[in-house]
Amino acid sequence: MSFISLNGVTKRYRTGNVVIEAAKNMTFDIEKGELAVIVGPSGSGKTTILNILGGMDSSDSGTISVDGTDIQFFNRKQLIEYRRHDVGFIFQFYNLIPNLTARENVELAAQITRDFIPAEVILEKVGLKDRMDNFPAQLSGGEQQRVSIARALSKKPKLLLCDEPTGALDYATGKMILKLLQDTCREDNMTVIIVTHNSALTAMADKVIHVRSGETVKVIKNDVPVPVEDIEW
Amino acid sequence: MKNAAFKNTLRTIWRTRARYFSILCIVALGVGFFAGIKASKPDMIRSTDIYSDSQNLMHFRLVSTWGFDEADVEKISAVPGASVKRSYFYDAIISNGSDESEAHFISYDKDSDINQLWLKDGRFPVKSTECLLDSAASAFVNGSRITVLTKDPNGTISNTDFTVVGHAYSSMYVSDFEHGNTMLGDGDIDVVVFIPKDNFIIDVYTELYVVFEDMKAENVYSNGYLAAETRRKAELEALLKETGAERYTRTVAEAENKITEAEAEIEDGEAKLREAEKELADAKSQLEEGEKQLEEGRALLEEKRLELEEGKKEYEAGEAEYNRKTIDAANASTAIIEARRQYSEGYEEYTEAALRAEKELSDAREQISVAEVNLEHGKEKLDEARETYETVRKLYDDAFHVYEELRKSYEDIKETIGMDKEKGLIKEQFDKAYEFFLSIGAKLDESKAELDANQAEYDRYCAELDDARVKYEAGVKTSEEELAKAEKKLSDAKAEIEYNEDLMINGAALLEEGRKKLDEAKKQIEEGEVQLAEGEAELAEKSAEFEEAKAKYAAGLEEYNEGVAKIEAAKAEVEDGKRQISELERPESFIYTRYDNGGYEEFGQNAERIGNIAKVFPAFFIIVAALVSITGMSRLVSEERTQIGTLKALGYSGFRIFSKYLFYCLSATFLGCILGLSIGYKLFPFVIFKAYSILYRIQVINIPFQWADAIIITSISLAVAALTVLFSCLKAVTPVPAQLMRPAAPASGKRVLFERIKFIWKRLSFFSKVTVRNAFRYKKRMIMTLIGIMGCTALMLCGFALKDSISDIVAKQFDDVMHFSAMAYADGIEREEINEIENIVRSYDKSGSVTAAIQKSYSVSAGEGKTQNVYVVAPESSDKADRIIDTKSRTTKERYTLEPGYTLLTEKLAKNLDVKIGDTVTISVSDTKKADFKVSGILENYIYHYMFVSPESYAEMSGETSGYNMLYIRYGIIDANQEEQMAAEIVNTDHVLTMMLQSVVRKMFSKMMEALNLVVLVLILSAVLLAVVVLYNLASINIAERTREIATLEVLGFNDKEVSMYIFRESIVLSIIGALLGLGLGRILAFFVINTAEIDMVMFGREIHIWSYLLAWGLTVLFSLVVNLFMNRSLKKISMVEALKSVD
Repeated sequence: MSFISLNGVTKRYRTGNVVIEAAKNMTFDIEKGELAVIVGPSGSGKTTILNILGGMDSSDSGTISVDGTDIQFFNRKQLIEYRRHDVGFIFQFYNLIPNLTARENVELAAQITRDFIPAEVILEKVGLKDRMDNFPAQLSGGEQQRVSIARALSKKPKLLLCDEPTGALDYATGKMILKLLQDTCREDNMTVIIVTHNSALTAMADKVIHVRSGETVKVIKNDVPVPVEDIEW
Repeated sequence: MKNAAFKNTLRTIWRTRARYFSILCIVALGVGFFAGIKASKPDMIRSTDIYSDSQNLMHFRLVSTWGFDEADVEKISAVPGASVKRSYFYDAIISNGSDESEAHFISYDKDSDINQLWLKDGRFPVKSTECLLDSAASAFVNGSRITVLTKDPNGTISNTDFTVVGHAYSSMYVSDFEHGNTMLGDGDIDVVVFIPKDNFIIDVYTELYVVFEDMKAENVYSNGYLAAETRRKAELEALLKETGAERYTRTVAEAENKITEAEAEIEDGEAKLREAEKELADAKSQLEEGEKQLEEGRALLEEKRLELEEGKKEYEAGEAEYNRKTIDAANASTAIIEARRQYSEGYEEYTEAALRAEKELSDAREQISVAEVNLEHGKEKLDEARETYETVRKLYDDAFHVYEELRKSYEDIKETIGMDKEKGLIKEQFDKAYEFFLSIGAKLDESKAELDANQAEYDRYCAELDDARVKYEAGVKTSEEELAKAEKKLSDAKAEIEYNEDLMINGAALLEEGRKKLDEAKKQIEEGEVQLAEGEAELAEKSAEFEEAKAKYAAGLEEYNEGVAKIEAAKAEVEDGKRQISELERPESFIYTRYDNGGYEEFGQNAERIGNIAKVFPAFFIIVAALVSITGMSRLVSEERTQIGTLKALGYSGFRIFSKYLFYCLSATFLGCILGLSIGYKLFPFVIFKAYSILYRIQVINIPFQWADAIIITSISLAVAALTVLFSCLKAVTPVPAQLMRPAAPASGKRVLFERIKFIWKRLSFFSKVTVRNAFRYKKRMIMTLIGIMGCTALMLCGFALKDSISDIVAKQFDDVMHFSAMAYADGIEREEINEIENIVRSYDKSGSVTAAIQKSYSVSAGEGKTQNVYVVAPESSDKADRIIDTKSRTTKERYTLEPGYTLLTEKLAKNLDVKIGDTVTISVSDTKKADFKVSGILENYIYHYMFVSPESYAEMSGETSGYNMLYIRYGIIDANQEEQMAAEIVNTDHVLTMMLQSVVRKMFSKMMEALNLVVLVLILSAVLLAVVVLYNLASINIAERTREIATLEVLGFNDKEVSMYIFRESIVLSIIGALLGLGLGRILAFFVINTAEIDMVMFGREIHIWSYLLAWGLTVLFSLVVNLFMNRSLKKISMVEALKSVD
């Protein structure tokens, strides 16, 4: 049994009279400690998968199992618990609370978990030791994203979900972030799932899942992932 | 194109309908409150104007010391535009059977249209004994009776008993509690009574009411009215002066004429009197003569009567004699007849007797001869027997003698012989012989006795014969004698009979003669009686005539005396008249305006007060409304930043884009104005009017929609809204599209000042820190939230405070300020009688006491123009003032004492007069007399105005030295029944007119004050509404602005409660702080409102209960919680997907 296993996951959205199938029979597995990249163009259903995996949405049919637990039948409360303890989420726009300092943003997440890494430790780890007491507005995009990663990691999640983590960043900074993610994956044996439309990133992945029009097109196991430093786009 | 843009606008409205609606509501609330409160004052004044005009309320009331006559009325009516009502009034004490009250009677004239009455219940009076009462006198029910107690020496009204047939509102009395002053009782008029005009029987009108057309055209309380009033008043003053002077001259001339006439009349009268005097003297002498004649006649008649009486008596005697004689004659005749019969009988008897006697005599003779023979025979026999006997006897005696001898012999021998046998035998022989001898002797004795008896019988016979012979002889003689006697008797009788017969015949003739005489006498007597009766009748007639004449004389005399008295009186009158003319005061007239009328000006002042409140109160609403609009619009504009950029990029001009938001805001404002104005214009003036109708009875409530004002208010609102939009859009519309397309830099986080206080900051929990920082992050919103919440709390506190201050009055006034339990109105009571009442009180409560005072209503002034109607109270002694009222200051708690020349004023009075301790106030004792007092203390008091002066000062001021008219009775708590019983006992004593229990007055006031709660309720409701709108608006903006943050938190795994708390902790903290600040603001506002809303007569409480603070604060926080709880729903609706979206 894989760490994460999706089998025939289907999701339909209804807007007015129109029913859109955002995900159709999606099936793939991700092993523990793998860095997976889900890639596809806009509207391919990759965000839907992210939502479902992140416990923010539920599927209409199919099974999703995370670390041996089927999450597709989770109720609202169980989903909150799942998000709280098992998932670390990294947003395209960082989603830091502007009114809180970097440390406080990390603490915000840590505050609600049972077991967490102290903010100072994790911030040091992401290289923000000196900027801990700065407000998001005083940080650059990359720094902000690193705070975001620190916030996600501080609660020791089972998996790290990243939604276009470099989408709002410049090339160099983006690379740095990706590096941080890859390092986290490698060093902490963290399962990292990156959702992106940028197929260049597939090179750094252990597993690449191509999606289009809500369907899994192909799942490629990459035995030799390229270090981030070597990726160009 | 335009269509699409318009559609877009409508869709925006629909999408943000909650915000749209909140702008609409806040505008409606602000505008409605503002317009409503603002309209209240003009509405009150207009209603009064309409009411006064509809009732044709007088503009001037004219009173003159002389009253007015027709000439005066004509003069005033002749002024162009003037109409005049002739009226009478009369003040008196009335009784409804149990209580006495001071009443002001006014003539009711159904034909006049000035000062019309507005019927409340019942009907208008028809009969002159019916009356209509002013509506305030509802204690006098329809059908009850009232009686005038005051003496009416001048004859002003013809009836003293009236039946109540209805109650009416009189436009002359605007206040239910003020009916003006009177000289009677306690000086306050309690009841106004309208009685039909014909009840007034005096020949001048006591008052005139004047209405001017030009003044009617002006609005009351307006400057135009005041100007017209001043002008017309001057005109009337001149006119009255003129008419007064004319009337004086005319009256004096008339009076002098009258006096001249009267003097002539007196002379005339005197002449007539002299004549009458002479006539009377004549009549008197005639009368005396008549009396004498009458006396004589009476004596003569008496004599005649006596004579007649005598004649009558004589006649009666004669008649009796005659009757007796007649009977005698009849008797005699009977006797004669009897005598004759006897005589004949006697004669027969005599004859018979003669014969019988002869026969008897012969018989006797025969018997005698027989007896003689028998006797002869008997003699022979007897002699024979005798001889025999004598012989025998001799034999026997011899024999015996022999025997005796023998015997003797025997006896002699007997001793010798001694042989017993022989002796016995002999003896026996002898005894036998003896016995024989004895028997012979007995037989001899027997014969001898028989012989003797026969001899005796013979002797007797002889004697008898002799007797018979004598008898015979005598019988012959007697018989002869008797016969002769009888014969004589007979002849005598016969002679007598004959004599009597003669006599009888003579007597009958005499009787006849006597009868004739008697008849004659009777006739004479009858004639005499008739004459006498005639004489008496004549006398009676004469005496009646005499009496009549006498009465006539007496009447004449009396008339004469009266005439004399009249002349004297007339002379005195003339003298008096002359003096009066010389002393006559010129007529003095007084002109009263509507403003002199109780409550009229006060009502205007009250309207002014509402106007003042209107200036401050609604400002809150306006400010809050503007703030709400601004935040709402700013939010909308920033939300649509991208869209604005897009539109700009598409080539829409800045103005076109701006106009969308303009439309959005203006339409909401416009609709809000319509809603607010249509409700506000009706609701607020109505509620305020209703609250004031407790005190005033303007029967017209005119609350129209004020178009002009509405247009102005709406225009201003729209202008403000447009400015708001401009302000909000300026930032969004001016930049270049590219800039707009990019997300706006989010408000950056900052350390707040608070963090510097490390030792507190460190102690705060993580979320508290977040809350603090969040609160300060959006400063604008925080300030707005605080203002909104402060406003709500302030308004609510103001409402509660108003309620406190109003409801407190009653408890404070009756429990703390007033130191008595009941009042009794009395008429000139003295201390002795007061002790009596005190005893009654003490029988119910041992600690009870009675404090007497003189209490009268006076007009009191200080400085220029400030005049108040005040109860001036002079307690029986200065140290007893605190048995009436708590003589201490509310603010300093200082206690005051009453001293001569100084006065203690109640607080509100001091405020109204604008005086402080040490200032001087002036009491107008009368028009000419004033008394000054220095203020030595200002007392806590809430209802009415009182001014306490020492009894010495009062006596000096009024000239009255004794007779208290008010009793303040003090006792502990006794149950209601007993209290009533005690009151009844006290009222039953002399001098006590009525009694008022504080418990009853208290109830009345409580009820009155309760009505004001309506205003408070409106205030509180408005505050609540404002609170809800503001809080909702702010909370919804808070959520909308932080959607992304909330979604992120959700993604991070915050549960619902944690998310809600993260967002609302801030609102709640702000609510708590805002509400606390609001209490301070509310306090200031409340005191302002209380000060302005207060009525003249009453001082509202100045304390706000701790409960009101708690309630205002707690309710605000509660509403905040409720709104947040409500908003929680929209919080849940936020999708986590929002977190993934790009920042816009």
